[in-house]
Amino acid sequence: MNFDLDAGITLAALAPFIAALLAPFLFRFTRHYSAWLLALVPASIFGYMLHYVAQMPRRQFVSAGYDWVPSYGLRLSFYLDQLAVSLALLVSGVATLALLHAGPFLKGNPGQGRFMALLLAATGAMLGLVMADNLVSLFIFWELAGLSTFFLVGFDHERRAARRAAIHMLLVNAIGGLSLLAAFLLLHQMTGNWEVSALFQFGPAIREQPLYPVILILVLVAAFVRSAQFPFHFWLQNALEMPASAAAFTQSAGMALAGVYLLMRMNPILGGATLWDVILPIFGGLTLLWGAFGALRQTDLVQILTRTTVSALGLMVLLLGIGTQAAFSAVVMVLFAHAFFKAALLMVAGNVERATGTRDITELGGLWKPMPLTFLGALLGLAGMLGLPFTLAFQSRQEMYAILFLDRISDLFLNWQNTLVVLVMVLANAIWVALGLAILFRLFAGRARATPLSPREGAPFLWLGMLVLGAASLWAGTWLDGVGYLFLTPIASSIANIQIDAYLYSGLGAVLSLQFAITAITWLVGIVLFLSLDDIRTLFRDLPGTRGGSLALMLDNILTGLVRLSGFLFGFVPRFPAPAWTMVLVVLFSLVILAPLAPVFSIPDMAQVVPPSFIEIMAMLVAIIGLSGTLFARTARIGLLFLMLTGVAIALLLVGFGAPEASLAQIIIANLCVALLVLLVNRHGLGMTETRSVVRKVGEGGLSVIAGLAIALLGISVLQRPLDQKLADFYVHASVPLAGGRNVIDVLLMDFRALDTFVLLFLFLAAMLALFFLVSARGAKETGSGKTKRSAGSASRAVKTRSAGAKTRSVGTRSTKAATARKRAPKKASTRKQKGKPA
Amino acid sequence: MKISRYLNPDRAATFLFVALAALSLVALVFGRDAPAGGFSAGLLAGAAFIAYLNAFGVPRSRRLLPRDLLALVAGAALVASIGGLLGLGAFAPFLTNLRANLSFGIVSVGTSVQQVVSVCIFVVLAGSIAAMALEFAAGGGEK
Repeated sequence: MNFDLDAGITLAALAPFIAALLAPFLFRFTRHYSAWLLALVPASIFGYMLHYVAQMPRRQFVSAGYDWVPSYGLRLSFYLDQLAVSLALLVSGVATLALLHAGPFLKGNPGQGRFMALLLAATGAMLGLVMADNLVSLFIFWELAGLSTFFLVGFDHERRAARRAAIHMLLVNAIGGLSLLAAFLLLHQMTGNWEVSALFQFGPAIREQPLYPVILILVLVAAFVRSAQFPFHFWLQNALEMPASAAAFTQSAGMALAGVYLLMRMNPILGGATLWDVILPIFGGLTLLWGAFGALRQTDLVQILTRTTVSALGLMVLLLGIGTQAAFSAVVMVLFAHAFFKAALLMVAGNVERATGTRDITELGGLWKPMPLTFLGALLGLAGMLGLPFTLAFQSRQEMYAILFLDRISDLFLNWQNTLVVLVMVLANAIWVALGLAILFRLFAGRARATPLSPREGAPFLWLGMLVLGAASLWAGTWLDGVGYLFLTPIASSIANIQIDAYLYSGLGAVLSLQFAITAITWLVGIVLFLSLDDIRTLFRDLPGTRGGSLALMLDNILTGLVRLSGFLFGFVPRFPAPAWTMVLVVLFSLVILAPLAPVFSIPDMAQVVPPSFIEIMAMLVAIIGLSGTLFARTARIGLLFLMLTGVAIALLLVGFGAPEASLAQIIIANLCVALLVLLVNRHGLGMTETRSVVRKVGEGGLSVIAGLAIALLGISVLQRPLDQKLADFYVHASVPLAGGRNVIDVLLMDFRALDTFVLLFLFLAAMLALFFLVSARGAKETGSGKTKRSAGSASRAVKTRSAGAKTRSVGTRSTKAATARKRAPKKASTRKQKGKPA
Repeated sequence: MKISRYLNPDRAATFLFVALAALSLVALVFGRDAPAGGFSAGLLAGAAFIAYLNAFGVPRSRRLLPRDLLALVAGAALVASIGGLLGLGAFAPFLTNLRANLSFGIVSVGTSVQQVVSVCIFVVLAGSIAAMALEFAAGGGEK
């Protein structure tokens, strides 16, 4: 039983990722129909989560999961309380509809398989995020959500705007991710717990700690970035570059919701303190107004919707900050109502743009006739945006206005703050109403206007999603008692961590109440705003400093600055020859090594150094011969051969110390490096002759000797300290019983330090790729431009010489003498040419 | 039997290549219990390829390698990472070395994640050194 539970819940969080891996392959065979198959994954998660609805009113929760890194107490654990279950339902439900929408919406787009994979990954990340119990796994899912959304924003990566939006999103969210990690580490340090559910009981104690403000601010930065609160709102405004199906998911149930979810989850732990009560309403209210007024200036349909999303997210943060019982139930209702209508309206916007070729509301009109089902979906969605009766949005407005007279915001606030908050909410809601009316009348009413494409209704899955979402909103709004009992009150209680009795008003009582009067005022103000919308837009456009996203511009400037800086560095480095840079490196290297020795500097006790044996002296002599050969060789190739000699001599020394493994590696690496360098030298005709003077050679050699002496001093002085053999002994003794290998080095690499090996492997790959493309690009440049004609000529000549040599050899000469003679001939010619040219 | 037969550079290069390649396989197979292992074996195989490349030139050496060498290397790196995650599937911690003994009648073959990862490391190192060497020898402009 318990196993089934663990497996089921873990699978629910991981299944979308597995589906995401399969999506591109599935797409090859089933093209756009793969959306149907893939949508089964979130749909079945939705079905699975429905099992847990029955337990919601009883305030029960389920813990499940597996040990991950038990030695650090890390678990891949999940905590399904009312908040998690209902948000998982929302995420999986909206994801199903968005996937189905994406099927016909992106039909014919070659990247559709990738798109569906990314959307599924975003779904999995959000599911994992809302269900995660462990702080570390929560953080991982948080970052996965960011990463998958980054790729979704940049889906259309051929367009500059999409790339810019994606980079902005990634950079801004990196700030949030880092501060979240820091906050979680502090929380762990403070309580010794990784599980969120276990942290709930520490709430009051944490709020007393001196570090509490630090943790709170770190968490708030993370949540504000993710949920696009002022001043980080701009990434979401740019994120509309993604396809409509993804935008519908991201703005209603996807990444934009993650920040609000984090605040809800952290409310029992961090919420309720004075700082929380002050910061959240201020930033939430600012964002609420900022988004609403920003939307007023827009004529782009998607921009309007996205800015009202920013505004709605601000509303949620504001309500969470108010933190009363009515506010908690209002925030739950706002969340769901907004998700329903915003996802539907973004799908409408996508369909309209797809059918007409434009999304500017001033260029559209009379769409109800050619697109009747989209019109119906838009009507249902707009009913939510306007907050018409019988929708969940209407009820959420009733609930949020109830804070005016039902409870005081907190001890800190006087009642005039309640009034101010309600005034702000009325104003913002009125702007939503005005914009909703504008969408309705500009898009669908009036006479049809000429558009780039002639509009017609699309495939069923294009309009099915919005109808389902609209129906959900109506269902929740009319059957409020049941929905309140099953979902709203339990979720609000889960956020507050105490039992809440929401003031759910429905039926006639709602109509006659004071809240309804305020709601009516909201509509009236909205209608007035709608009627004067054009004037307001003109007025706003002329205001200075409202050109949107000054922070976005700042980010742009930072990015171009970085590009300029790297351009400057790229120009600066070649001004000095490579040997000069090498010398700088050697000097810095010896300084870095000698610096830590300086404070305690004493020449190590040479009497303790064991005198070398005869073989060791011989090996050292060979090494010294090799080094001086390298230094004074006439050509680079001979120098490299001498270098190889040094490498072999060092390998011999290592054998003497009883380190065959290191010796083997030393031999192979020394030879490989030399072989690769010889290839490079041959290919590019570098350093055929040595031009440096003897004095310079001695000087540079002296510098290297100093660097070597520095290392020797460091090594000797380290070895004169007592050596702790504990770790080495453990490895030697544990390698056979624990890992079944007698080669301790291999066991170390493959088992004990396997993570290091992975990092090493990818580091190696990265370095290899960098070298590969550096040489590749250089080769292309040389053959392409006439600027470096000389080296290009010599390079191609070198290759020709070699292939000519190969030919003579493969002809099958019996006598080696003849072959070498023939081989030597072109070589001589080429060296002669080489010598002749510079003179 | 003339000595010159053994001094034929073609034969010498082929011999060197075969010997180095064989040595790299030995290093890979016996690396668990004797000095060597996936890393050294990969480096040895890379050295074998460079010997071949120096003797027979770029076009002929390129034929030794699969066409999508970088894809192979990347795939091996991916398999190695998944090998680390396999422990999770068996409800063991990350990077746990799982062992399985497959027996075919009287012949029993022991295998473990470590061996798979070892082979992957071998492929990554050998493949990337070969790719690098080819690139160094041929350059980007002359494909």
